[in-house]
Amino acid sequence: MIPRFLYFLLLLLLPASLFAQDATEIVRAAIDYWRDTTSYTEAEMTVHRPDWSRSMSLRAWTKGQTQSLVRFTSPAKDAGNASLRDGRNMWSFSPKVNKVIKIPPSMMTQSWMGSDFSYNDLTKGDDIVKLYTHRLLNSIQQDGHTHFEVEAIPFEDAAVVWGKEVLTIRDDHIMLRHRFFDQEGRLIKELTAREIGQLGGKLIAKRIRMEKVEEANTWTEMAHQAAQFRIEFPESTFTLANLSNPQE
Amino acid sequence: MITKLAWRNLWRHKRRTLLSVVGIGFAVAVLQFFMGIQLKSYDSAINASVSLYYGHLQIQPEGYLDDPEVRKVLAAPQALLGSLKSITDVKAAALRASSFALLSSEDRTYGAQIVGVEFDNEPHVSSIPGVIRQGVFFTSADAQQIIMGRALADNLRLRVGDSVTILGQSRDGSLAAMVLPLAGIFESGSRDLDRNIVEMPLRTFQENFGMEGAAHNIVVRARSASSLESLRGEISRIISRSYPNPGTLAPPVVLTWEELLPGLKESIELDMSFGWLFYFSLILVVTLSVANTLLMSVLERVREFGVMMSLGATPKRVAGLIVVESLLLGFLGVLIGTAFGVAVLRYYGVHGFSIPGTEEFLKIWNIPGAVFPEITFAVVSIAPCVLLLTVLLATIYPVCKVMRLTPVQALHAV
Repeated sequence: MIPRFLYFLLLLLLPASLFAQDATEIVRAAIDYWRDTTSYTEAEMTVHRPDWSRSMSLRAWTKGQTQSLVRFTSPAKDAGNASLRDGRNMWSFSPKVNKVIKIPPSMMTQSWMGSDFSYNDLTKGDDIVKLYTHRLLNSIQQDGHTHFEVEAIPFEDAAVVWGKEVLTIRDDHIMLRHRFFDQEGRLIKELTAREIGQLGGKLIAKRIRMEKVEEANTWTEMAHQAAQFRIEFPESTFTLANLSNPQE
Repeated sequence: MITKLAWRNLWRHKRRTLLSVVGIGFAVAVLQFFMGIQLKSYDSAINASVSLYYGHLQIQPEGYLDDPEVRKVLAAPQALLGSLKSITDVKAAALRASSFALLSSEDRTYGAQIVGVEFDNEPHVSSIPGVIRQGVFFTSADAQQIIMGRALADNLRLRVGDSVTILGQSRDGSLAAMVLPLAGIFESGSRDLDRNIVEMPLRTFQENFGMEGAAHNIVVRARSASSLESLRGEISRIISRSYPNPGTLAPPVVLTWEELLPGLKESIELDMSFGWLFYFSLILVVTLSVANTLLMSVLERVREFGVMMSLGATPKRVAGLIVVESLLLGFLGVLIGTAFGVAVLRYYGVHGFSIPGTEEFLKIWNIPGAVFPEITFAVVSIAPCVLLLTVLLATIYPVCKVMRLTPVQALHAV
C-alpha cells in the first residue's frame, strides 16, 4: 500500500513537471518552426545608432540547428564578406584579405559585423531548448491568439552569459519577443518581432529587431525580403572552401 | 629653570626613560620607513602606467570610455592638439585612434586593441616606442606596419617580418580588413599591454579604418603630476571655446588617469587603508605605553609635588613641568627615530627594497620589483608630528591629576 502522503507528493509534483514539459515543447516548436529543416533567406540588416544608421543586404542558408552561412551582397564595401557556422565554430571571410579567420571562443560575445547581434546570438541554435530549464510564466489571449510567456534559465554548467531569458511565443510558434537578462536579473537586450507576414509559404516574423535596452535608439533590424524552406542544398554549402570561394 | 628641572627628572629613571624614548623612536622610524616605501610604490605604479601608455590626461569623445565605438570620434583633433601644445603645463600630447580587432596569423587568432599612434608625437607620451626589443617602431609616419607586445606575438607565434591579418570595424561600420607585416615587438613589462595592444602609424590606421582624418583620443603628458585638476580645467576651457553651442554635438571630455585606470586607483586606496590601520595601531600602542610611563612618574612623585607646592609653586607650574618632561621625552624619541628612519630610508633608497615573492603581483601594475624610497618632506615630517601630538595627548590625564592636587593632600600621600 502506498502511504497517503505520496499521493499528495505526486499531486504536487505532477502539474509542475507537466507544465515544464509544456514550456519546453513550446520553445522547441518555435525554434524548429523558424529554422525548419533547411532555409534560405534574403534580408536587409540595418544597424541604427542615435546619430547614424547603416544598411547591408545579405543572403543566408541554414541547415538543421547547427549549420549556417551568411554572405553580404551590398554595399560594395561589404560585398563578399561572409560568416560560416558549424556547430559551435564560427569562421569569418573577407575578400579584401582573401582569408578565412576562425573566431576564437573568447571573442564570441563580440559584435557580429558591427551589429547588436553577437557571434553567440548566431551560433546558439537550439541551445535555448537543450541547455535551459523552462517554466511557463503565463499565457494570455490577444488578437485571437494565445501568447505564452516562458522563462528559460540556463543549467548551472551551461556556458551561457545570460542569467535568464524570457520568451513570448504565439500559439502558431512565432517568437514575438525574446528578452535577455544578466546574472543580476537586469534586462540587457531584447529581440522583438516587428512585422509578421507570409514568406516562403509560411507565416514568419519578417522583421525582427535586436535592441540594447540601456542605450536609447540603439538597435539592429533584420528585414527578410525572400525566404524558402525545406529546400535541398549541395553538400558543399557549409564548408570552408565554399566560404572563401563561393560556388553559386 | 623648569626645563633644567624636567631634564634632570627624566634621568632619575634612566631605564624607564630610555625605554620610552626607544619606543617613540621605533614608532617614528617604522612609520617613516613604511610611508616612504608606500608612497614611493604608489608613485612608481602611477608613473609606470601613466608614462607607459595612458598619459596623465586623455581627451575623449563623450561616452567613449564606457563604450569605445569606432564611430565616436574627435572631429577636429589637429586644431585641439595645436592649442594644447601652447599650454605650459603640457609636456607633450599625441593623437590616437583605436578599434578592437581580430588578429590572425597562419593558424591562430586573437582579439586585441588596434591603436593608431602618431609617429612623431607618440614617443613623447608613451614609453612603448622605447621598449621595442626586436625590430623597429615603424620605418615612417605612414608605414603599412604594426608593432605588438611580446605576449601577443608569442600567442600568435609571430616573428618580426611575418604577416598578420587584421579584421576590425571601420568608422562607417563596414568591415576593415588588412594584411600588414609585423615591424617590431615591444616588452613593456605590463602583461596587460603586452597581450592586448597592437600599434600602427596613425595615418595607416585612418586610411584602413575609414577615419577621414579623425581620431579617438588625445593623450596628454603633464609637466607635473600634482596639478592635474587645474590643467584639466584649463583644457576644458579651451574645449568649450571651440564648442560654443554644445546642444548639437557633445563636446569631448577630459579624463585623468584616475578615471582611465579606476582599478589602479582602487588598489592604491585599499592598500592605503590597510596602511592607515597598521599605523594607527602602532601609534595607539606607543601612546598608551608613553601615557603609562608618564602617569607612573606622576603618581610616584605626588609627595614631591606637595613639597614644591608648599614652597610656592602653583599647580600650573607643576603641570607645566610635566608637559615639558613629556615634550623632552617626545623630542628625544623623535630625534633618535628620525635619525634611524632616515638612515634606513637612505640605505634602501640606494639599494632598493623588495619583498620576496611580490614581484609577480607588482608586475600587474608595472611596479618594478624593488622600491627605492625617496626622502621627502612629507615622509620625514608626518610621523614625528603625529607622535609629538600623541605624546602631548598622553599628558592630559596626568596633568589633570596634578591640577587637582592641594599641598596638604599631596604631602599626606604615600
